[in-house]
Amino acid sequence: VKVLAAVDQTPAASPVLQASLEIARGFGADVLAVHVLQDGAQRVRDLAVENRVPLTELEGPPGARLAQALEADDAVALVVGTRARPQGGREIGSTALEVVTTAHKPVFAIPPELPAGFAIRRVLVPLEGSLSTSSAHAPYPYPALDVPGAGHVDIVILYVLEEDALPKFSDQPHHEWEAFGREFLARYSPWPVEHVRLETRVGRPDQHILPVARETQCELIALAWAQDLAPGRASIVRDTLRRGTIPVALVPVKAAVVAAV
Amino acid sequence: MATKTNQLRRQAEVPELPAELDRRFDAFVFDWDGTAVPDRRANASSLRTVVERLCALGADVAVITGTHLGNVDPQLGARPAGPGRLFLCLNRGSEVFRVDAEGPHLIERRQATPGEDAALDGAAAEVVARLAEKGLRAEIVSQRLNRRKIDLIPEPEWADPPKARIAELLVAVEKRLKAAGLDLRTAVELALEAARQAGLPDPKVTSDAKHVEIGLTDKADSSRWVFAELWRRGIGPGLVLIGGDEFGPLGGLHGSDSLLIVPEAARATAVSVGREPEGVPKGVISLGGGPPAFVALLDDQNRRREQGDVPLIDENAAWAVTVAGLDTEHERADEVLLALADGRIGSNGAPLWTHPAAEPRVLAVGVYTGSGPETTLLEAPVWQQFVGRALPPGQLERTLDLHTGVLRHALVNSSGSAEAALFSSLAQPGTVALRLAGSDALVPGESAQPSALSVEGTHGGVAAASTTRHRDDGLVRVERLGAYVTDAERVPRPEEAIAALTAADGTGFETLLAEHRAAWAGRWEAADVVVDGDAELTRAVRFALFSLMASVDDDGEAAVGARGVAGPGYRGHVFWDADVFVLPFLAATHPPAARAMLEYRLRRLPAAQAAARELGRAGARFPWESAGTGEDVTPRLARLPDGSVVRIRTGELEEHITADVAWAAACYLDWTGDASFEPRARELLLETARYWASRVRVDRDGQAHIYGVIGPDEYHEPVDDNAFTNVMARWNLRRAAGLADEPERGRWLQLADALVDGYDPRTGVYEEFAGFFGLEPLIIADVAPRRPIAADMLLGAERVAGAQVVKQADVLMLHHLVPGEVAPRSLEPNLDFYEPRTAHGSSLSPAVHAGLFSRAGRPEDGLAPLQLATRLDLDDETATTAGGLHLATMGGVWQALVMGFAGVRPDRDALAVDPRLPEAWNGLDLRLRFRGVPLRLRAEHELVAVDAGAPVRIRAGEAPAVTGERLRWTRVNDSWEVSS
Repeated sequence: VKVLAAVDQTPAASPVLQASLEIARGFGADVLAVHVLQDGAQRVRDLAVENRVPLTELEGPPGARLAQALEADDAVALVVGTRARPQGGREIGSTALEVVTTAHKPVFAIPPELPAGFAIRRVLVPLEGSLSTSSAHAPYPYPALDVPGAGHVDIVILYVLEEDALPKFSDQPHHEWEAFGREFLARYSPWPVEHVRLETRVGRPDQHILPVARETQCELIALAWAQDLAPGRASIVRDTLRRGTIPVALVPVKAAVVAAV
Repeated sequence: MATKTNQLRRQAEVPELPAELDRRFDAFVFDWDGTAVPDRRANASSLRTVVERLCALGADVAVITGTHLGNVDPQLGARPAGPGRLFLCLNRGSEVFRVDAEGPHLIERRQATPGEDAALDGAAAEVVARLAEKGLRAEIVSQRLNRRKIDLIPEPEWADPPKARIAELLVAVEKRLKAAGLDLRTAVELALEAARQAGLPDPKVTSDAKHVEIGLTDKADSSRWVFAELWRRGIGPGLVLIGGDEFGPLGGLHGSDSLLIVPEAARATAVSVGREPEGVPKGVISLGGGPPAFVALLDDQNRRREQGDVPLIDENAAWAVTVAGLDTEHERADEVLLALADGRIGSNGAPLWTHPAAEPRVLAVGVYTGSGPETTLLEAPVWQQFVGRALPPGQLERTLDLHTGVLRHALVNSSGSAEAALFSSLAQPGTVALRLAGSDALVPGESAQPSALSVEGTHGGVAAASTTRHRDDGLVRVERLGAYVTDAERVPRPEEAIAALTAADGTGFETLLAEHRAAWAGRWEAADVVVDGDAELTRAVRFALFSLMASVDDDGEAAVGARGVAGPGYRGHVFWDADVFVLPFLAATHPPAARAMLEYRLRRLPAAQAAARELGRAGARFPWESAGTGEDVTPRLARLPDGSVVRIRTGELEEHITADVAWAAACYLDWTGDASFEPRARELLLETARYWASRVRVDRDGQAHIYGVIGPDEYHEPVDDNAFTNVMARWNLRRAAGLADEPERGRWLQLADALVDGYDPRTGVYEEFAGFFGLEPLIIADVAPRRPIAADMLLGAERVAGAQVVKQADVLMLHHLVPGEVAPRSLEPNLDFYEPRTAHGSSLSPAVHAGLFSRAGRPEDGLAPLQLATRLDLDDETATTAGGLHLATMGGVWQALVMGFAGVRPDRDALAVDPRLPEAWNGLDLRLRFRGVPLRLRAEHELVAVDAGAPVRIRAGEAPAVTGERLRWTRVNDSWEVSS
């Protein structure tokens, strides 16, 4: 199987390749660099050689070609770079956007400031408390739980209780939240509960995802989403990409019923 | 589902049986002449054999007939040794005999008064006279018990017609009557009229074509008695087969056996083996074939029991909790709702087959592992699942019958079906049993070896043993018996469990089941609550009561954890939930269980005394959270949903628990009058009072205070002079003073009088604690999107601490628990003040408010919080039901209904009652036990009725107390007056 690394002639290509190698390790996959020819390919070729990954050069409309490549049976994920916005923060380029909103597989968005020696040891997985988002995560082994030799990955599940989801009762908090957390994981953890730990917060998810990622020292945030970037939608995805400085995995929810994310 | 009855296909036998009869029944009620025997001279030896075998296999049998003992018993000649019972219900509803190995024993007889006998004679003579006037000769042929029989055709040819000639007989009688201008129906009407004119208000007149009989009772009375008796043994009508030969109309009259189908027999299966010339009524199965067919039918039932058919449950929606399918999201909560418990162990309702979402679990009551705050309930070996057999795809349905504590599983898919019944014996706590049968694709076929092991806790342990038997006769049949021996102080040896298992095995599945059903039915006889006018609320209340009864042992000591033993939540720790919320229900319905709860506290009195000593105080200080040792096991830290870690101070400061334990002891005494417990209760009351006497501080003005506590409203901590704590301490001191000697007595009364309680006589409102009125005024509705709500989560701990936001009933809890300790007429102003400020952030709170609304004359306002409390676990309102049941809420539901809406509570030497019901309810039917007397209490808007097993003293409203077994009051101008 292959993890596709979408590379172009910009400086974003280097962190994308570097992250792809780490992500592929989690999947037990190889990296295939993919470049859609537009303005030459030499820098990309050099980079591929430098990172010892094979390169496929494609021609045609970039978004459609990448999406096509990801449809291949042996392709398990796509890695794209984000770019700095003139008004500050980061965003996914227009080419990658086309893929992200249509892909049936996870797409990893890598910020330009990826640290050297990037390794995924801990992943933050915000969940909204629904089976649809949880089941979106479940098939993707990016936490490398089942991949021999992929190394240990901690998973931190984050559940943010918004006002309308606040519990009715909290009889004895020290027992109540223990019971609540245990059952939340039993219901919604995509992975066996012994592999995960739960963090909860009260408020709005966009307030907490990045701070919790920092506090818990996660190297990756995995977001299940409905792939709808229309105005007013996917605010958490946009916000996390814009303000975050660590890679974000966007995992499509097939049922597309995710309201919060 | 297709397996609602156990119609699993077998290899052979009775293929011609209609589907409704192709199942197991557990009791048999049938007519004699024409149904069981062709006539009174027939040899009934095969019937005798079949009946004795049915009884030996645990089934109950009742013969209902118009004739007398001499006509039935010698012919049947059955002498069953049990465990199933044989009843002969004779003389058309007037007598019941129980027949055992020794012969028949009269157990009930309706005896006519001399006046009734005279009226019967007069009526019969009048009928004969009126018929004679019409030219028809009739004769009074016998003067039987409570009835008179008039022969309409006293001709030699028709002296003793066999049943087989019923059609000819009918023609002959009709011909005779027609000549007199009558038919059978008008002859019966004539007899009815004569009976009423003779002074019988409710005469029972029937005809078998040859005779017209006038009586005080009929077969319907027998049937009612039988179904009531079966119900009391946990045999619901859905498990009963009614047999007869004359259900259909005869000569324009209802067939005599149609009287067997009384309303109490709803869901029973009725079969006719008679000729039924005019057909059978709707719902009755016409099998035909006469007595031989009926005997074969009974014999088929013996075969089913011998081969180990899975018992059914009476599918009665009023008593059922059903989970259809397996919802992975809610499975663990569903397993808690379907839990079986016997007071000693709790087994959740996980599927028999493994599934990733399922968490099969067995917990032992009061057996802990770990120490300090980490003390948790010990997990015991699981018996209710077949390891290694994954749940096949298909339709799974699990139904818990609350009336009998039997859990039924049914699974259907394209490869076949399977069904199972499980129970955890209430009659023999620690004994568990299951039967499973189905197609081999669905049922594990391999034989498991008997196994036994011990699991060690920190102080005690559990030993468990089980044996599993398999049979394959076309269906794969599995029977598993298990035995658990639990001990809170030592680890039982596996041999002890093996010995218990051997005993259970000797008793056998059927007898264990019969005893278990009877035990549950008996508990319900003493505890049921019916909200007349709201069937769904009644069902939810029954679920609560079932859970309470199942969670508390009535032998030795009972450690009742906040979430029971259906789940591991709250680590099995015992809070005031047990003493204040759970115990009153048991004190009022099943005192031995309440006493076992107090025994739990008493055995930990030394630990409570040590805790007091450690703080430099006297007496006994009970821990906020208690487990095995009686030391405080409250955790010291909590991680909140907002991610913060906070210090937990309830163990240190929530001291009202000490008065709550004393209150529980007093509550038990007030309900039971149990003199044998008085010395033990005295010990609790005195030691807790000594604690308060040493805890209270008296200021320079002579006022007494309790500084630095947490009240039930845990949003504010620490506080001084919490009204609940102070008033409960005052109550404790006063109650104990009545038992104490001087000088303690005088000092305690003085201290009690000096204790401040925050009451403001100008407003009638108690201040929850010193300074509460100075906090930010806050009405929950103004700041929260809804109620209940965990306000500390919504507003933050700091904001609620500085505001008039109340977590749960605190001041109002006093009006609920100790109304005699609060100022008269102070409920209304305090309810007005505190109710809007209460977030109900504790699940203990809504039920208390529900009851108080009613006491304050606002029963309609009590409905919503009552509904919420009854649905708390059924709807998994907290998303934590997977951790166990909210037993305190359930106890609160009972208290809301009994103490609140019905206004029932012990009041000195009497039981007070003062119902205030919502308009939508017709009434409340309560079963209670007061001072050792079981009683039924019906509370309506305008009526109170008490029927007791012995004289009992009752006070309705402000009316003087009266003593009697059958008491009635009616409401006149808002007060209650004795009406009979």
